[in-house]
Amino acid sequence: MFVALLAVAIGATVLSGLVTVYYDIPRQMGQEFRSYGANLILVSSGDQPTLSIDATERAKQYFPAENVVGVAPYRYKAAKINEQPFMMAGTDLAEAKKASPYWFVNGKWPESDGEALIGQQVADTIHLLPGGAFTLTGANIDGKSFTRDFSVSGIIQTGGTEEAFIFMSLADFDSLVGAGAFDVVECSISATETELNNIVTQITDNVPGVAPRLVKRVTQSEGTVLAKLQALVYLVTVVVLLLTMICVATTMMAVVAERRQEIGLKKALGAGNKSIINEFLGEGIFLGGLGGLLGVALGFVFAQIVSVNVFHRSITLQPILIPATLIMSFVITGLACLVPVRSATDVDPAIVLRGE
Amino acid sequence: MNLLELNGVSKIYSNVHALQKIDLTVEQGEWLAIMGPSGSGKTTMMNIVGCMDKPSQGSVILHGVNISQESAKNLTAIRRDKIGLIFQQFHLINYLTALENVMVAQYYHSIPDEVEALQALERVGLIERAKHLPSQLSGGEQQRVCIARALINYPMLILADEPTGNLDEVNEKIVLGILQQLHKEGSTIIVVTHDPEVADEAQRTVILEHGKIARIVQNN
Repeated sequence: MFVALLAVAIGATVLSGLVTVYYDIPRQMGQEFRSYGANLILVSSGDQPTLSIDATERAKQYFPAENVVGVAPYRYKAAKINEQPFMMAGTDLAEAKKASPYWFVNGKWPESDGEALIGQQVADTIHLLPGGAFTLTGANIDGKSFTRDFSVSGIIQTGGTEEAFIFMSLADFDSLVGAGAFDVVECSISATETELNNIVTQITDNVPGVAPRLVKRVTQSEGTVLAKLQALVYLVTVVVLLLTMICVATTMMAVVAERRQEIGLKKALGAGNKSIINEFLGEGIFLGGLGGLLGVALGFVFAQIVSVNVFHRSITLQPILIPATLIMSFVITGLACLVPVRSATDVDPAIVLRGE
Repeated sequence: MNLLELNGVSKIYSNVHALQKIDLTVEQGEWLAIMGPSGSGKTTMMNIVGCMDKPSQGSVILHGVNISQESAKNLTAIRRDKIGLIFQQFHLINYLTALENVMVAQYYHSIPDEVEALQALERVGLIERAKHLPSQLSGGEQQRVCIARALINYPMLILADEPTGNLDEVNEKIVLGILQQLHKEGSTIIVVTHDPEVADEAQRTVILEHGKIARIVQNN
């Protein structure tokens, strides 16, 4: 019986643990995926080529506040360094850092006015290193020319188009070009593809002039990876439950065989099949309950270990898993007991007279 | 008044005729012994009378009920209510005490009653050993627990299969003394035995050979 109890406890542990991980994977992986950058961008949908600050703020109201990782607005303008053309970008640098954590900065992020991040391509072209200085020239929105010296706080490497840009704070950008609306707003939100689609629909329906778009390569790959991970966990859970059921059934069959004479005696003394069924099912349910309780406790520990080691984050106990694991343990042991119980009722009471 | 009637009872397993046209009556309060060599049909007859098997042919009337026609469920109920079984190998449940072993029979019959179970153990002289496990009891003591268990539900018929077969002479006498006492109190007893001394205690001895009654001996 100890083997059966152990089997139920292990089965319930794996069930409870993996289901905890199963439901926590989107949260855990969602946060992991945010390191790949923005998954939603806002652009203008109206006659104007840019997004107003007001429209942007109204669109942000549809974001789930607790799941927003970063929202970085960008303004772009062509400019020159030593008569070589480049694209300058003004942004909320703190938000850009959160929304694009994959940017590798050689040096440091700008901390004061007059500091800029330059892309690796820019640095290669004009031979600049962190701590170096350059003079930016160009024309503001009124067509008047500007000239300003900047120091290089860091050089960014992304492997993408960002390496051809010069990034500065919005305040610096506005002081050069003049205040204005955003060209694009990059948003990083920890949410599933379905949730993001809902946000897109709500913004499209309720905020005129704003066109929200999912970054498909990010959201789709997130969805695919999550679906595969969850399918894997689901499959492992089902296999473990089946193995548990087989183990319990085998053990109970052995118990019935071992107690065949006792069952025969009880039947000879007047025990009906119902009494025999109740006894063995009672033992099975007791096993299920005890194993299930052990499984709930050990499963949480198991899920915590998996979460900490794989995702480097702790996990919270889902209270619904306690009754769910117990019910599943009862069902598994109940099903596993069906065949052994049937064989117990087949024991002939006459075996006690034959001396077997 | 007849408690048990066997009319033309036969039991056939494939091609083996374990019992052949047995006619026998047992009166209420009678002590009957059944003897015979191995394979003569003693156990088959006990199974049929004990409601654990059905005859292939013929009828068995126990206390006015034709048990050869009853369903397995009804046979279980009849066995529980009307028959007390004593086994050669005692068949006590090894993880239960003597008292609990007696109460098991009460549990399946009605409601376990510790006081009554203790009285049954007292009747067989084992009140002091009530809390002992079977492994802590001698063979004779285990058989007396088995008798107490058979008596606990006040059966109409006590079926004893080689009740002294595994006992030494001293314990054999104790067990026979208990059976004699039960007989005096009016119990109907059928004992299967190989031992002529045990058979001599009965009022009649039925000798079985090859599934047939070879002869019936009236004892003094």
